[in-house]
Amino acid sequence: MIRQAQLSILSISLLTIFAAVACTASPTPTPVLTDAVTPTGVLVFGDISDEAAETINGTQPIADYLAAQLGDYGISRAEVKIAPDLDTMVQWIADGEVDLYFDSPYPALVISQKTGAEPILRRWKYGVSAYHTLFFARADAGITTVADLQGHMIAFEESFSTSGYMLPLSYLLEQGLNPVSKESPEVTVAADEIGYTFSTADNTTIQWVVSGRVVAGVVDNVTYELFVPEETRQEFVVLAETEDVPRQLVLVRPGMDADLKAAIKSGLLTMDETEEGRAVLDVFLTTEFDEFPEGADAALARMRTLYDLAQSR
Amino acid sequence: MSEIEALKRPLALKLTATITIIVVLVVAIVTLLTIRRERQTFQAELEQQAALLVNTIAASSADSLYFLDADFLSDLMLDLGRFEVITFGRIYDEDGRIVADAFDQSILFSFDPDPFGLQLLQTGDTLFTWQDEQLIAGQSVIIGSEVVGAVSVGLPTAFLEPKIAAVRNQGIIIATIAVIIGLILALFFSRSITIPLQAMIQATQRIMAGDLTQRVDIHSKDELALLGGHFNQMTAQLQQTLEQMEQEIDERKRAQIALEAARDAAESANRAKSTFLANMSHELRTPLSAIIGYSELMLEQIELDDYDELEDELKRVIHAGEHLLMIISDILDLSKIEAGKMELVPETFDLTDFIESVAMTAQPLAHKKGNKLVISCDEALGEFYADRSRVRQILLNLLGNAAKFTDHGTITLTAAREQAATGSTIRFTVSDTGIGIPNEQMRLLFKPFVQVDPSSTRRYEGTGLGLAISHRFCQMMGGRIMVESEVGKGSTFTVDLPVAVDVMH
Repeated sequence: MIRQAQLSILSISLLTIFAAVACTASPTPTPVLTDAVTPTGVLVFGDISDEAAETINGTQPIADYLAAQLGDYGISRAEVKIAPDLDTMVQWIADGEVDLYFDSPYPALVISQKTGAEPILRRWKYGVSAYHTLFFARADAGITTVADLQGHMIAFEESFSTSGYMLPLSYLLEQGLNPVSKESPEVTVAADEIGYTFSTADNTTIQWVVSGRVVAGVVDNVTYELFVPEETRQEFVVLAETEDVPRQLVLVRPGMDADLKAAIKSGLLTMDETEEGRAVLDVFLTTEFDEFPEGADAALARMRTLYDLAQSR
Repeated sequence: MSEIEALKRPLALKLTATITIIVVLVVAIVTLLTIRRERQTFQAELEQQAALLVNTIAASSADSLYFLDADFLSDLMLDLGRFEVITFGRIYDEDGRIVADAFDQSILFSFDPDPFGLQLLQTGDTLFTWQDEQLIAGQSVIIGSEVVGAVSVGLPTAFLEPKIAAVRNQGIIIATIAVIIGLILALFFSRSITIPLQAMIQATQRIMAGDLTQRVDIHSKDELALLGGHFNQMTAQLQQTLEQMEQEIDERKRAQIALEAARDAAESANRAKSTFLANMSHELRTPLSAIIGYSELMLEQIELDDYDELEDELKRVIHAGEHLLMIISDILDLSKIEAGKMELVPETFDLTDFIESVAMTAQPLAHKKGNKLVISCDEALGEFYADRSRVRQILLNLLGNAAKFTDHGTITLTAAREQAATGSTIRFTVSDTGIGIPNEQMRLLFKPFVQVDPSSTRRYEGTGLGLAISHRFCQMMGGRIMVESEVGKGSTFTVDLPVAVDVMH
């Protein structure tokens, strides 16, 4: 919230400056107001973001597209609701205010665990169906394995991140190591511990490792390959890689009508088969939706194991 | 310079061209200075705005830089990048590495510090870098005494160009108008000078052609009007002077003509007189010589016959005849000289012998009135080339006058060779201790028929022609005759003659 306020102040300052120099500024997107209670005939998409406008603009087309196919089920339109945090979203889903929710496995499982929401499909986000986590460190730090991280501080992303928390934490635990949460990178780490602190973002994690603020960090393999330049990767050493997990899960609220759920599932699975559907998927940064290859139960079982490991800390 | 050459570059053209060039230069300089000043103003404003922006970003990013919150810094820069007015935006960590960029995410996560980032970290002030199409402003971010990073943004300069172009176009329009006005004023100014000058040139040309009635009419109330007034005054004075001169010339011409007529008449009369005198003298000498001759024969016969009663009368007749003959001879010589018929016969002779001969002749004359004759000559006078008889006549005339006007005194004759600038001369002097000559009479001394005292003609026998003839002979031989005298003490006559007389004289 503090960061958002800072950015708002900066934006106002910029607008003032640009007005003074008679320059044109980009219009600020108008936030979409959502109702506190889901009205009858409305399909509600939910998301957690600190950039509500951007998220709504990216989600509203797919919501409208899907709603248009659900007229037989009393759905006439769609809305997008943005929650500032996970707890709010848990509350909204539990209360039936949000019908559909998309997220990576760990927060999805948290919500599912707390609300009874049901994972129905896998989402290919950014063209990726699954991903995993990399442990990396500066090559000149003298660290070559995760075991070498004992007594050092490493950077995780945030506490509800799949690749930045659940996967690396469970990996370290399964390796028999002792990861301990720390408030900041400067806190002392005991020799038998692997201290971890939250950077809040993958790019911050990478910068912390580059600048030496922490000896190692974790990011998902897609981020690592897409955003870390080759020259920098030459200066890093990858200590370990976790197993793959689905990139994102599609959750439907508990208690949803079976026919409606089936219709939603069908609509999402077939979106990539039409031109209009693919255009909507592009806006939603999604390639397609599919079933869990190994079956929903098997896939969710392993993820729940990892989830439980993470929750145990 | 000829008129044609002068008109090749007329004054009006020069003035107009000069003033126009000055106006164009001044307007161009003012326009350029204005454009430059406006450009500087725009640049200063843009720098001020860039500084404000970079200050705001620095304040917004300070906390995140302290914690190296790269995500927030990236969001900050990406948000900035969405504003189309910035062209550049970066945030650097405390080591100068780029941790956020508004447009290019591929340059993030580098291990190498950015040179500009390092420069900003070392500088407390806001740095400005003007590039082709943007202004880069940057500054370090300081918390307390710790430099935690730096920020930089770029603002486009493209919008400056239309503003500067507008000022430039405005300047060009104003400059064009100023040049046109300047050109018109230059033409007006140059014509206000050249038209009066052309009027004066035309008036001058007509005056040169002889029309002195020309006047110029200038009403400009300036120096040209003053010049025109002076020109008119000068012309009027010139006209008046010329008219006076013409009148005087006419009068002088008439006087000259009368004078020439009088001179011709006088010369004609003089020549007639000289001719008459020469003829008359010649005619008188023959019977007079006969009278003298017969008188001398009669005197010889009387002396033989001892018939004494008529001896004195006959002597008087002979003396009077000889005196008359001398007068006639002098008149004849003077007449010949004035008629241009006297001719010199130069010869070379020994000067010492010549002086002795002259002295011997003059001796009786000097002794006649109890005077003493003194001869003083250089020992080696040498030879002298001149008309011997005329030189002798000059000296005897002077010695005769000295003897005539000196009573029981001393008469001195000297001769010496002198070296003058014009060559060697012979100087003769005849001095006496006689009655002297008054100053007022000196200027008449060498005029014919003049004696110092008119009464002396009777007291001192003589024609009054001797000095005039001597003076003329001296002139004919290229010499001169001078006199110094004091009444009661005597006179000194000096004759200078060239050693070799030029007959042409």
